[in-house]
Amino acid sequence: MSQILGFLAISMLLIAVLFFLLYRTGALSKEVPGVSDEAFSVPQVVDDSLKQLSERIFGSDDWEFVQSHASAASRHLFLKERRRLAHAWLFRVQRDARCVMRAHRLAAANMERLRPSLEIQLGVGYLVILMSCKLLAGLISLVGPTGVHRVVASLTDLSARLRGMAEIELNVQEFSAMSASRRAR
Amino acid sequence: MPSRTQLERVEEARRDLHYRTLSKLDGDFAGLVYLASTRDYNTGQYVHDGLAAHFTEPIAEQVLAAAHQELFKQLALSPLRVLANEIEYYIRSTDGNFNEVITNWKMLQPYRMLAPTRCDQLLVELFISNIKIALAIVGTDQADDR
Repeated sequence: MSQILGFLAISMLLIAVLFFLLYRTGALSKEVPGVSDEAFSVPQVVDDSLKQLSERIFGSDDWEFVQSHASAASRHLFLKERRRLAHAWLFRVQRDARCVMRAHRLAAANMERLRPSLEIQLGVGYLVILMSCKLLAGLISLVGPTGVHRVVASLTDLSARLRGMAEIELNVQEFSAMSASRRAR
Repeated sequence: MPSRTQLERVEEARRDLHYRTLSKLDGDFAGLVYLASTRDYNTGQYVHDGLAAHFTEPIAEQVLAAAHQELFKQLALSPLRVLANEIEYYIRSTDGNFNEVITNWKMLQPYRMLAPTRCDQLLVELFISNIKIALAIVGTDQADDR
């Protein structure tokens, strides 16, 4: 019992750190010169897919329906299936974050000048996503997918922000390279 | 890039499929079953003689594939309550015995063939998982009614 309480306390602390870092990341993002907030948006397809899936997998309306309309066996099946899907969703988020960072590393190798603040934001964002996924995996096993709905919404936003930041960095560098080549001509 | 006329033809074919066929079926689930059945499981290509004759084979295939993807996504992301109602309505509209159909669906899992060829794997998993749960709920309801 004391182990579970300790685990919950650590979980709460990590969630608090997550929200703090989310806030900081959001605040810092606006400091990139010449870049509007809109530019931080993520391609709609990727963003929508992850978000729509999370709303269905972690949302409470299906569970409410099952609680009021289904037998104990069906309720058990629902919880088992949703836990499995929730873990698959977390796996997807981690995979997407890894893809973004891998693409960013490849692009960064050819960049003339890196922005240290953005690199730190990307690194922190990436670590927070990985840590949150591990934490959520434990919480899902304890309280079920519907109990972590709000944290999942924050994680989805952070995942989208990470991709947006990586894309922005790439676009800024491409723009700089284009401007430099025009000036050279 | 497709020409304006080409886009207009695709839109016309889309409307034709919707009004002549899909709107006349009993519910969205029946529409999904129909669209999945127009796909050749060996080649993965969609075949519809009527649409192909009116328009062209590529247009017919494009329109069927898009309609299949759209309807699948809509049903996969719909609330479980809606999906359970759709499945119950569909099974009741077939000629088979309700309980037999449920038992066969649970055993043979024919609904796995309803997913489009190119589709988000997690979305497919969600759909299959929701159908399993919906069948459990609908099957239990039926047993309770007896």
